[in-house]
Amino acid sequence: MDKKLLKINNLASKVEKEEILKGIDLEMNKGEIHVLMGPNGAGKSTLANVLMGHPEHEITDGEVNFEGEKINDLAVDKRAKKGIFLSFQYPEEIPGVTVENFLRTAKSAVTGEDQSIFDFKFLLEEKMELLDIDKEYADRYLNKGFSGGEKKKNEILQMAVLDPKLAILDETDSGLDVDAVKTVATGIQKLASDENGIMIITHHNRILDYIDVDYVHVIIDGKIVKSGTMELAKDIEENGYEKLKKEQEECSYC
Amino acid sequence: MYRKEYLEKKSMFADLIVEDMGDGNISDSEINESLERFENIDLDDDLKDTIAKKGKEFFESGVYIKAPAGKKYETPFELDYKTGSKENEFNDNNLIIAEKDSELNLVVDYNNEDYKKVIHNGLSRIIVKENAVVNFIKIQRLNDKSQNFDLNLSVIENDGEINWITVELGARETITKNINILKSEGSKADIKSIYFGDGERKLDLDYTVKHFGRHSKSEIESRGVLKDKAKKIFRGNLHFKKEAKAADGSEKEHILLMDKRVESDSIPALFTEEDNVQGEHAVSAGQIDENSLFYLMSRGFTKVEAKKLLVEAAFNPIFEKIPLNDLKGSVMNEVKRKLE
Amino acid sequence: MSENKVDLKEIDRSIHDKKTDKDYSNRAKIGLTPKIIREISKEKNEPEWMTEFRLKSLEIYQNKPLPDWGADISDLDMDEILTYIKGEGEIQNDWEEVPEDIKNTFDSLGIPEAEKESLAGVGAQYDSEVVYQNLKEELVEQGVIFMDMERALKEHEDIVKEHFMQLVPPDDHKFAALHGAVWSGGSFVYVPEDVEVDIPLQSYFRLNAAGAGQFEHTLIILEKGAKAHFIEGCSAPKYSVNNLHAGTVELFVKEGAELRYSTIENWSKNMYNLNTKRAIVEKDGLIEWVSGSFGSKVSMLYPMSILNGKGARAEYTGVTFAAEDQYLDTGAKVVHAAPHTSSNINARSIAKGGGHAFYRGLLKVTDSADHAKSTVSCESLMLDNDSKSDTVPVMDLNTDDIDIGHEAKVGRISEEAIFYLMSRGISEEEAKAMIVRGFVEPIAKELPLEYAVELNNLINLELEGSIG
Repeated sequence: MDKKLLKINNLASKVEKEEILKGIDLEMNKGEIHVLMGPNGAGKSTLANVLMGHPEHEITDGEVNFEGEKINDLAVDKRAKKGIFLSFQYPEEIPGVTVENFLRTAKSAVTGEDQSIFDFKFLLEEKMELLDIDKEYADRYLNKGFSGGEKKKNEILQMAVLDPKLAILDETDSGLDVDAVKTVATGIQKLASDENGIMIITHHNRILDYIDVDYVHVIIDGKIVKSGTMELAKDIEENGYEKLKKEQEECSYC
Repeated sequence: MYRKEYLEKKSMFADLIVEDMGDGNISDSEINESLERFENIDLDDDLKDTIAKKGKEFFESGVYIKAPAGKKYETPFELDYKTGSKENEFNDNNLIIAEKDSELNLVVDYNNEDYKKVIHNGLSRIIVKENAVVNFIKIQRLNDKSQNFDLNLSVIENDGEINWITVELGARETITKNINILKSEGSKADIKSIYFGDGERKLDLDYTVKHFGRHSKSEIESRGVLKDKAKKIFRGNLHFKKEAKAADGSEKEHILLMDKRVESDSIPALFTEEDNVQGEHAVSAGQIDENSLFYLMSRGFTKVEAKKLLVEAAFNPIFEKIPLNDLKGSVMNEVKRKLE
Repeated sequence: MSENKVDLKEIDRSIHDKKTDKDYSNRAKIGLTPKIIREISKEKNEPEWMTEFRLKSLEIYQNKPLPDWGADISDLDMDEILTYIKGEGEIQNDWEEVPEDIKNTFDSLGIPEAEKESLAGVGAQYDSEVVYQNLKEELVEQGVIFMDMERALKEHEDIVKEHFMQLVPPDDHKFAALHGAVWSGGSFVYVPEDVEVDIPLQSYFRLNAAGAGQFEHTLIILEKGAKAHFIEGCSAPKYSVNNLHAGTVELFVKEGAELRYSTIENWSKNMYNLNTKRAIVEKDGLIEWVSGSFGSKVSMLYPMSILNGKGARAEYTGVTFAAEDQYLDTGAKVVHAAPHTSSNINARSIAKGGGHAFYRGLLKVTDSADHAKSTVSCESLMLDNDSKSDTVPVMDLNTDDIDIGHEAKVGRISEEAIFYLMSRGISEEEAKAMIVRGFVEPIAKELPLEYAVELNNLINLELEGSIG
């Protein structure tokens, strides 16, 4: 049987007392790039956080299956070890820990193998060059004093180093200038392969100009209301979410 | 009685219960029941003794105010006080209760226009019940010969809120304590304080918030100016008791020093027994910013005018919040006068 | 697997609690009387004025009350403290000649090798006496003096007399008086004008007898333009009887001189650490304190800097880690007593397992300190719900032309930060450890490598299996 990379069935969740996801169905195969779009507050970031296992979000119904295994109750670090990666919308600052030390520790954690300092340095420099990131960032404290754009680039650098099977990118394009979007998007395209899947959560479409997207899903009010291809994304760009929102409201059996 | 006439005229205060403390119109049991809420509060023993003493001695003066459940009084109510049997002394023992879902706005202006020396000894106890709001503005501008000893103690329950604005401009010596117990979940306290020390004034200001309730929130912001030979001690005490989960408290003091001879002591203290909290405090002290002075002078202000303007600018964000325009104007003028 | 665990042998706590099987009963002198003081002084062969000084201090000690604030030291029975223990041998100049079991004790503590090129010299104290000294030739040529305090008293009597307990006089507080009466051992450092000592001067000392008090006296004098770095690190084994450490450190930083004083205090958990450290800085001089306080049952430690000359500066970077059954009351004190002085205090504390960390700082600006500038930053991390963390800083400002800023924060490790690290495959414990190490990093990076390593190992030890 062909195990899907990611299979989400009727996923519902809440945070504190509020229900956010209200029944999400989604499937992803290896080698695919999916896009998740939607208005503010629709639940895009929430889905990303639930997939990664954020403790504040509680799954109230449904299942998340990763490579055929149900991961609803799996701890965050175990999910990372299985090959799930989240590029954060607001990456945390961890003062006192350098980018290089952090990444070497993470790489050891995810692969289960100790990383030699020398080999790792080489790997890191290679990836930094790929993403056009200045080498001096390796010695800076993780995200401390980084601009919004620098933080996002650093997230993609982490993705490049950790080489996940499923990468969820939460609004990576926000905070980046025109050139940075191109560099990061090109980098993401380079990292995409037949062996991994990428889910891009985006608010605008700029990043999609540089990436070959397979599927586009629109999430409104905690549910995926429509799926399609890049055509759908272009339609949203031109007409906004109003039409879909209306359809959602009117359709009582959707 | 001043207050009753006032009330009769203002129909907006209908339903507000206001009585003189020593009148006999409020039953002792009502008072005692309210006072019971102040028992078992985590206070230093000598403070408890002071409160007990003041409560007993000054029972004849002061006011009992109760806002019934659900009633909101947006118009500020001005508290009255009167001199006691000793001519140069006035004491007020106030007990204020805001019942569930009510809102109360209070103002008191301690002011003596003649030049006699006066000693003010005050005690105000406030209970803010579930989801109620009390906004309390206290202005102290007694003359330079007088002394001010004021103790304020509030207990705030579920989702209740107390917002203080305290303005200390007068008295030769002022010792004020403002203690807020955030007893239950969601309770809040906000203190905005202004002080101005000049001449040979001495100020001892204590702002204390004790977080007991989960999700309780507090903010203390104090702005002061010291000039001539004024002396000040600022004590900010932020306590996070165990089980005050997700509590959030902050205190800030900003001091403008305008004379070599001033003495400024600050003790912003943080006491934490609960790990799931966010607490912070900050103090900054210095002279008027050179750059700002330069900027204003380059627009034609003299140095003195520029300094006055900058001090006002420092105080204005808090002054703006005083609702009664006459009062606000007169307080601002007083500050301007002192800056001359 | 984590990169942060370095390739040295694991230093585990029990090693520090190693006790050698020595019999101290006939060597120590219990209790304090003028007779005993005279005996101590005679045995050390001291000049008359020092004997008098001790006797005077004893008198002050007997008349002064215990402090009524701070830690609870009622458990300490002063009369039972064995005040003086003679070491086993003469002062050694060569490591080879140090008595075997003494060497073993040092070895088992994993002390960096004393004979390495990079060290200028080591004065190691063992049970109130300095046992081993080795001073590199170049320093001797430059006129740098680094020797045990008692020898310095004899060979450089004038300098010592001029400075001894001038900065921390016996009437300062009860334990200063005690110290004045029974002080023993310690380091004396003298750096002549314009001499820069590139290599850190280190001193290791240890307490071994049950109930023994440690009263070493460190006196450092840096003449005009001199530069030096002194490292004090210590450890002691665990005993059932309470142990007391009431040493004194006096630092004289003259015009334009720069002194860095680093400490890792790692006493075993039954120690009462009531040390007094004070520095006086003249015109354009600089004192830098780097301090890590772990260990000890009770600690009251407030390094104080007196900025006495125009342009003098003080920097303090410190971390205090209070774990189970510990009460660590620490803080930095700075007095700005001259114009254009500046100070920077960065104090961090961690509390866990019921430990109580108390920061007590003082920033005083006198009326002759115009243009004084100071920033103080205190950050407290609580690792669980059983601990306590208090911050009581006092700012006492007596003039107007100054720029003072102070801020403090308290909280716990942020959930978001833990989630972020876990999302990179790092386990919850390791994530917390990483964040704590990051929190302590500003101190670790100021220490020489071996000490930074020891610091990290201490943290790992404290955190192991007991977070959350």
